[in-house]
Amino acid sequence: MLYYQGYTVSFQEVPDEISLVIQVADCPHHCPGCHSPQLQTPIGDPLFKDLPHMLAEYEDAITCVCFMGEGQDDAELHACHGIVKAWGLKTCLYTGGYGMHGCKWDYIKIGPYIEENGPLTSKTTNQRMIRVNWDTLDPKKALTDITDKFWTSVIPE
Amino acid sequence: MTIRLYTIPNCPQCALLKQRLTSLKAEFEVICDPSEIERLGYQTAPVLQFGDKTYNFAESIKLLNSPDALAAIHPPAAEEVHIDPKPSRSDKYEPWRKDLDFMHMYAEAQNAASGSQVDANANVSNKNIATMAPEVHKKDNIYANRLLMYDTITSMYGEELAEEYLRQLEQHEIYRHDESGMPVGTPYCASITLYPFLFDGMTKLGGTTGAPHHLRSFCGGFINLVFAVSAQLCGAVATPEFLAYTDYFIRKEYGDDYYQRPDQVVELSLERRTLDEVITDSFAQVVYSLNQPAAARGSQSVFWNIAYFDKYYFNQLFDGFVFPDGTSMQWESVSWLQKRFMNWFNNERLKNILTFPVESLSLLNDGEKFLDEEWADFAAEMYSRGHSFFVYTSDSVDSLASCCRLRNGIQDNHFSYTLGAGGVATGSKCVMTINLNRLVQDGAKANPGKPWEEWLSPLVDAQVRKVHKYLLAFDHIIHDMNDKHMLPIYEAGFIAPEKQYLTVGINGLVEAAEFFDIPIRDCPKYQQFVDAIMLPIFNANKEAKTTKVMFNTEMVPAENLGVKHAKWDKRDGYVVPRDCYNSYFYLVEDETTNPIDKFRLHGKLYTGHLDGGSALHCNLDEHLSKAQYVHLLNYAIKTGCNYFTFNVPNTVCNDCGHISKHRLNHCPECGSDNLDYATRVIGYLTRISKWSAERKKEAARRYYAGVGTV
Repeated sequence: MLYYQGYTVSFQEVPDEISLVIQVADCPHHCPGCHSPQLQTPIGDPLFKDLPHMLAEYEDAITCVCFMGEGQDDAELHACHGIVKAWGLKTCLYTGGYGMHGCKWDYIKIGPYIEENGPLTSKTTNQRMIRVNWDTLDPKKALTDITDKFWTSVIPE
Repeated sequence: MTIRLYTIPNCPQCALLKQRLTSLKAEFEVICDPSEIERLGYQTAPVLQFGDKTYNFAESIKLLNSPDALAAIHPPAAEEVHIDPKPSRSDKYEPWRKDLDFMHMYAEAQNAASGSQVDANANVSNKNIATMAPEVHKKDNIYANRLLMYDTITSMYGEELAEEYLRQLEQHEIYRHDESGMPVGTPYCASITLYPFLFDGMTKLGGTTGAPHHLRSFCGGFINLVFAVSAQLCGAVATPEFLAYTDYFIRKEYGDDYYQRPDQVVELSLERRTLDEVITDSFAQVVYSLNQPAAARGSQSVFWNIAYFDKYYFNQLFDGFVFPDGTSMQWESVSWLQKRFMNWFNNERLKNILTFPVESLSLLNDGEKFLDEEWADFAAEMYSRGHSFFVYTSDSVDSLASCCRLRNGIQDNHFSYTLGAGGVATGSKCVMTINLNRLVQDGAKANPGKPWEEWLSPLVDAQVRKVHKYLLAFDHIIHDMNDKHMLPIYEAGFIAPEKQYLTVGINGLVEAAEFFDIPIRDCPKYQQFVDAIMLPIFNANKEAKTTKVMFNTEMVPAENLGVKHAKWDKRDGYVVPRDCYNSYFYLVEDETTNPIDKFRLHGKLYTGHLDGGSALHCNLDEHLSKAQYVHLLNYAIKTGCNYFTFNVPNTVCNDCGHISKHRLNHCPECGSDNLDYATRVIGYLTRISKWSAERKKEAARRYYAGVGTV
């Protein structure tokens, strides 16, 4: 079973998209220094049951649904991913690991949080944000590292 | 009762309080000892102990002017022995002592907005002797205004309604804007046509300069014109044609194709300036001049607004337009010049916090997408580059948003050889605002046990009809002033009184809804409540329209009225959930309301009957990408949110002066954390430290849409 602890619309998690961001609980990675340790336990509301309501609430406004964490039920994660795709929206997974968990994510943030390297917005981060193009078989074209989008701003400080 | 004055040596304020107490013939004890002041928990002298309470200097002055305090000093004695004091030469001047006290207090205050007792002005930056001048007489202005309104309402509708007007004002059921600052009978705001300026220059406004003939004389004359017109208005002056006319004078001087060769050197001076430099220097001349404090307005700068148009708006507004030399407007060069100005202004704001002009871009849509894709795309690009401006979007050229929040219907869109483009002239003659929170709570008291659905709309309707009559009385005063040649802006043809609305303001809407435990989010219950209030106003406005007068409604910016209403209502025992009533359909401090929710709450389901407009200030923590802005602009069409801006606080370093368009914790130049943030209060981009204390609190509470971190 997948649990979540809240959702909102946000601009920052997925570059160039307007995302419904869902905080998925029961994260298996337990990185030291994790900024939301409350998500390490299987506590929250059932995601599979509530997801259609969230989508109905915001589908006219968003371009993407971003799962903050994969939980520990791949079958349900796969089903949730499928529901989002059926609504014609892009998908993104924030994982502390490196696996796709059997889903065709349009974006995936990979890598554990390591305190001394900093989060995605830090230039020394070990984490990567990858955009996936599922229409090509050429691995060079299929995966694009867009992590630098979190570092650069068009407007100078 | 014990009265003790704690002082320190050589302190003029201490001396002043002492003098004041003496003049009140109070019995008091003076304790000149700094450690006593510290013991009482104060850092500055003097401190007044009055009974069992203590007061600082400013509070003491206020206290000693209050009737309650005076009564406490001299309780009415059974038999008062009257001894004539020795007459002093200063006795006849004593009635003005209150002005003197006020001046001392103003000089002590933190900044101009906090010093103002009556009606804090948003666009005064620094306190000085010029900003103090109008403050001293604000109360006198209010009383003169009330008397004239009383007389006029009596002659039009009878004494009963005139009494009711004063009662409603005094009990804060309604609020008359700009009652304090200007002489009686000054209209509120106007979007003017510049056409008469092309023929008469400043002469019909009492100036000496004639019609402009070149870019330079146009810019110089234009600055004078905006100052002169502002002097006859309490509020904003909008000049939607500013860039279109600038374009005309550039073309006259440098040819119709000037925009295709901006790098051409066009000056023989040692600087060898290019055409682009000549143009941007003109921008700088006008913008910097108009951001100057104007001495005649109590060192406020003018409130100046301009407009940008997309191709469709432009063509429809200026269809058939003819300049005095017989030529027409030219969209291609105006479009280029609009973009050039926006880019220039965006960069200039890195050098200085320039408050004006407030810019509104009008974009036409077909219900699904923007018709002028090039300009919609440019708007998204400018937002992503950190420029802050308003977008107004509509599916017909039916109205113009030109007064930073006021949306005004375009009545007559035809070109006339005397007035120019008819569509640009609009505005509001007067705003009177209903305190909705008080209205509904009074209604609930009068209708115990009945659900609001039964009584709310009729109650609103009755209140609006009264406000209409008050506004008509004000309209009568304006016409009277005009007949006596007191308002040359009308006679000179820059605006006609028939083109300006009489505006019903509303404040305290969400607070009223909260009183009934209605959730402030996009839901049928809240929609129903908003409708119950807005629909009767909308219908009454429509019904009251004649060929001479029109009414509209706006959600007024609560820059200081929201604070006053909250204060008054709290004092009088009403339920007041916050210290500053909202100016939006959502709660500023609610972190669960995301930007999408805000667009919905300012969409047509809520603002559909708000015929005078309200602007959504979508506050963001960081700038978005162009792709995201494109999406949000389109989402605005979907929700029917027709007037909005995005607001990311700019950081200003108080030590080195560096300005950044980001919200930062440290200055990237000098590392200082002595920072200030510039943000839009209600249309105007100003430094937060220049706001009055309560408004600063509102800014601190204001929720900026979160940056997610991982």
